[in-house]
Amino acid sequence: MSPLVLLPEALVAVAGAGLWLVRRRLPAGRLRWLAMGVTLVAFALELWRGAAVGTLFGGGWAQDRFALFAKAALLFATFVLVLAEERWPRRRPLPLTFAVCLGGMIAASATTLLGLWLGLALALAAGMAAAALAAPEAGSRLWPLALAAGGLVTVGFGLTWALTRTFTVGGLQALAPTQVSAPMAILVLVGLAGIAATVVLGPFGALAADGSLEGAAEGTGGLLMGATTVAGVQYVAWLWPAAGSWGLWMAVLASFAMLAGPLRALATPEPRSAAAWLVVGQLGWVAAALAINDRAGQAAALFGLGGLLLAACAAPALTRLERERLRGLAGGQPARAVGLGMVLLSLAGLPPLAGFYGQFMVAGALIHGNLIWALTAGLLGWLVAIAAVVRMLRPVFLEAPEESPRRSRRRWIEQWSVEPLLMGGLVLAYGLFAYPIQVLAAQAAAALRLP
Amino acid sequence: MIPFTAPLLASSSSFGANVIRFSFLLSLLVWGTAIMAVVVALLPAPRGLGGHAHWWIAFWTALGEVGLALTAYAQFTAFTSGLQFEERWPWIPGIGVTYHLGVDGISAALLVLNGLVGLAAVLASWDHRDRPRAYFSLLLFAQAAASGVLAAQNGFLLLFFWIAGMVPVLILVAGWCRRSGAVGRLAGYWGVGAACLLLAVLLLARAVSPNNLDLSALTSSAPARPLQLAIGVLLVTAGLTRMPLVPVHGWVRDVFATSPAGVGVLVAGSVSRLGGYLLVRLLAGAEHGASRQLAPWLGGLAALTVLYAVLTALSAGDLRRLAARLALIPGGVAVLGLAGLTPLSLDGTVMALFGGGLAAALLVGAAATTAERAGAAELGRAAGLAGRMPKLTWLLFAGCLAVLGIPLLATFPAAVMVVLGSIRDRPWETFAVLAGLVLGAAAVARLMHRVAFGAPNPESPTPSDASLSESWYLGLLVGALLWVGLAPGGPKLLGVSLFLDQGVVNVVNSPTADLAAPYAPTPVPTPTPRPTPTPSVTPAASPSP
Repeated sequence: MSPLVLLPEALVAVAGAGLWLVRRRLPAGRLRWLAMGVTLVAFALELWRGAAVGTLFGGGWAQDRFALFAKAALLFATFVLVLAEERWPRRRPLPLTFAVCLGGMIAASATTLLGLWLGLALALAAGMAAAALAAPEAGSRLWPLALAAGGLVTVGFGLTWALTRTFTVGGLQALAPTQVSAPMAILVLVGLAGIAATVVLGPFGALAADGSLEGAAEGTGGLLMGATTVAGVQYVAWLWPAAGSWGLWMAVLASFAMLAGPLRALATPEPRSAAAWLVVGQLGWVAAALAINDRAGQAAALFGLGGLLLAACAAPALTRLERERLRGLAGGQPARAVGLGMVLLSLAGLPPLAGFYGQFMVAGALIHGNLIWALTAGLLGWLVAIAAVVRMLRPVFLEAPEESPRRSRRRWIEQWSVEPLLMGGLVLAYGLFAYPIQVLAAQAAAALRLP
Repeated sequence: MIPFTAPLLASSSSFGANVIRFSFLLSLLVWGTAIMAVVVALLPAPRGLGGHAHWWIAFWTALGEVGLALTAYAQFTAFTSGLQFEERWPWIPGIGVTYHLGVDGISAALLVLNGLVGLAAVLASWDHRDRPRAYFSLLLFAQAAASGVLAAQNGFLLLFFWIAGMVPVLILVAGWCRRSGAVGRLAGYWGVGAACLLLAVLLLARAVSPNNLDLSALTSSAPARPLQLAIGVLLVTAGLTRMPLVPVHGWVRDVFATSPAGVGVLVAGSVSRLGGYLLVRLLAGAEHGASRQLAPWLGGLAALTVLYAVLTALSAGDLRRLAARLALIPGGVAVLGLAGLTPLSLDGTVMALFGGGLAAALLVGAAATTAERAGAAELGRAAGLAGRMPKLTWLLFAGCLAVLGIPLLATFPAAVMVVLGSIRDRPWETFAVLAGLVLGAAAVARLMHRVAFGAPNPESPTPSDASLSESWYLGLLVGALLWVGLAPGGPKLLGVSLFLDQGVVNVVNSPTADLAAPYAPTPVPTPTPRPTPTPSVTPAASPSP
C-alpha cells in the first residue's frame, strides 16, 4: 500500500506544528483562514487517497472504509469548528485542535490496542490542554477527571492484553464467546467506562464547564467527543465476542443519557450548558445503536455520529451568549439566530436537520435489534429535547431586543455574517445529501467485521 | 440520471387538463410555500404597503397554494385507483427512503381543504401587527408541512412532514397564545403522537422489509395479529392526539380559544384533520385486523367526544371556549365513520374530514373574531350582538350549524354517509353521536340566545362588525361549505358534470372504494340446488332377454 494515504495525517501534524510556530507572527484572522484551508485540503486528500484499502507498518495501521469515514468526519468537523469561530482568540490554540483531530485519526486507523490507546491519549491530552488554556479554572477541575478516565482506559486495555495475550483486532475478534471469562468481562467494562467518561468529557469540558464564558465555549470539546467516540466504536467492534458482558450495560447507559441529557437541558437556563446536555442526549442515541452490536447498528451509529459532530462543533461558537442576550437575537443578529436555531433543532432531532436523520436510523436499528425499551426512553428524551429547544428559541425569535439595532452598512454586515448561516446550511445539507454519507457509513460498519 | 416518474394523464374533460400540467406540481405546492416562508422570515420589514408587506407575501403565497391545489383537484382523474401527479426520486435508498409524492382522491380533496383554510388563516390575520415576520413565516411553514403530509407516499417522508409541521405550530402557540403552559401541553400531546407514529412506521417496516418504506409497501403488509394490534394502537394514539378526541384533547382550549384567529383557523381546519387522514390511510387502509379490533373503541371514543363536547359547551361561559368545544364534534363524526368500517362510512369519514375542517375553522375563526370585535368573550358581557354586528352573528351561526351537520352545508352529506354506513355495526355509538348532535343544537340555541339575541350589556364595550378581510375569510369558508353541501357530486347540467368541479364525493370515492374493499360484507352464499338423484338402473334389475 502506498504511504501516500498518510498524507492527511501528515498534513494535519505538520499544519499543527506550523501553526504553533507562526502563532505570534500572523494575525488571528489569517491563522484561521490558514487552518480552514489546511483542513479542507486534508479532507479532500482523505476522500481521494483514503479510498485505498490496505495496511502499513506490518499491519499495525490500516486504511479501510471505517478509517475513511471516521477520518473524513473528523477533518470536516475540524473545519466546521474553525469556521464557526469568527474571531479565534490567541488563548485558544489552534494546534491543539489539530492534535485532537490527529488523535482521532490515529485511533480510526489503529489495528492494535496500543494504537487505539495512543490515539485516545493524544486526543484526550490535547483536548484537556485546550480547555485548560482557554479557561484555567475549569481546566484545573477537568484534569483529575481526564486523568481518571485515561487511567481507566489504560488499565482496561492493558489488562485485557495481559489476560488474552493478544492486542490485535484480528486476535480479539477471533476470541470465542466462551473464552470470555468473568475477569475479562470486568476489564472490558473498565475500558469502556474509561472511553465513555472521555467521550462525555468533551461536551462537559467544552460547553458546560463552569468557567468564564469565553472558556466555557471552547469548541475543541466537540471534536474530542468525536475522536474518542471513533475509538469507542473501534473498541466495541473488536470486542464483539464479549458483547454479552457489555451490551446490556451500554444500552442502559445510553437510555439514561438519552433521557437525562434533554431533562438537564430543559432545566438549564444557560444556552451553552443546555446545548451541552442536548449533545449528551444525542450521544446516548449513538451509544444505543452501538449496543445492538451488529452492522446495522454500527452503520446507524456512525451516521448519527457524523451529524452530531457537525452540530456539536458548531454549537459552542453559536451559544457563546449570556442568557439575557438571547432575547431578541433574531432582530439584532438574524444570521446568528438562524444558525443557532438550526443547530439547536438538529440537536433536538427535528427535521429537516442532521439530528433527525441520525435518530431515525438509530430508531430503525433499535427496532430491528429488539431494544424497544431503549427506543422508548429515547423517544421520551426526544420529547423533552423539543420542549427544551422551543423554550430556548422563544426569546431568540419572539421577543424584542432590548435596544433596537442601528441601521448602517457595517451593522448590516455584522447582522448577516456568513458563518452562522453556513453552520445552519451544513446541518441542513447533511440530511438532504444523506445518501452518499449513509452508504459510506454502511461500508464503514461492514469494515468493522461484525457478524 | 435520476429516474423521474411522470404524472399520470389528467382527465381531459376537466378544467386545465393538458393546459396547466407539470410533473412537479406537488413539490411546488410543498416547497414553494416553504421557500416563501423563508423569504418572509428573512425579509426585513419593508416600508410602504401600509406595514402589511409580510401579509401581502403570505396572502399571495396562500392564494397560489389554493390555485395549485385546485389545479390538482380539477385535473384529478376520478373513478380510477392509484396515485396521480406522482414524483419519485431516490433519496436514501439504503434504508428505503424515497422522495415519493403523489395524491389519490383523499389527498387531492384534503389538499384543497388545506389550501382554503391556509388562505382563510392569512386573511384572518390582516390586523396582526405583533411580530408579523415570524408570525406569517410560521403560518406558511405549517401550511407547507400539512401539504407535505398529504402528498407523502413514503413512511419517512410522512414522518418528516408530520414532525416538521409540529415545530411552527408550537412556536406560534409559544409566541402568541395567552395561556400559560400552552406550549408544554401541545408539545406533550403532539410529541407523544409523533413518537407513536415513528414507532408504528418502524414496526410496519420491520414487518415488511427494512429497506422499503414506501407507503404502498407498508400498507400492503399483513403483520401478525399482536403486532398489528400494537401498530393499530400506536396509530390511533398518533391520530387522535392530532384530531383531537377525548381524552387526548387537552391542547384544544389553548389553541382554539386563546390563540390568534389565524392560528386557530389553520389548526382547527387543516393541521388537526391530518390525524383523521393518518387513520384513514394507515389504520383503515392497511391494518384491517387491527381496525376491526379497535373499531368498538373508536366508536366509543367518537360518541364520548361528541357528548363531552356538547355537554361542556352547554356549561361554557365563554364564547371562544364554547366554540372550541363544539369544534371537537366534526372529529367525533369522522372517527365514527372509521369505526363503522363500511365503504359508505369510510367515504363519509373523508367527507367529514373535508367538511368538518371547514366547519371547525369557520366556528373557531368566527368566535375569535366576534370576541375580538365585541371586546369581550364572556357570554354575559358579549350579549345582544345581532343588531350591532349582523354579519359576524350570521357567520357565527353558520359555523355552529356547520359543525352540527345541517342540510345545505358540506358536513350534512358527510354526516349522512357516516351515520348510514355505521348504524348497522355500531348502532349504540351512532345513536349517541346523533343524540350529541341534537343536544348540540340546544347548545347552539343557548349561545345564539345569549350572544346574538339577548339583551345588550350596557357595560360592555361598543362592538363593531367584521372588517372586509374578516368577512372575506369567513365568507370563503361558508362559500366552500355551501358549495360542497349543495353539490357534493359536482354541479351538473342535465346530468352532465360542469367543467368547474367533478365533485368531492367522486374524487374521494375512488381510493376509498379500494380502501374499504376488505371490509365489504361478505355475500351470504346462496344455496346451490342439490343435484336431483337420477334413478339408478341396476343391471340386475334389467330384464334379461
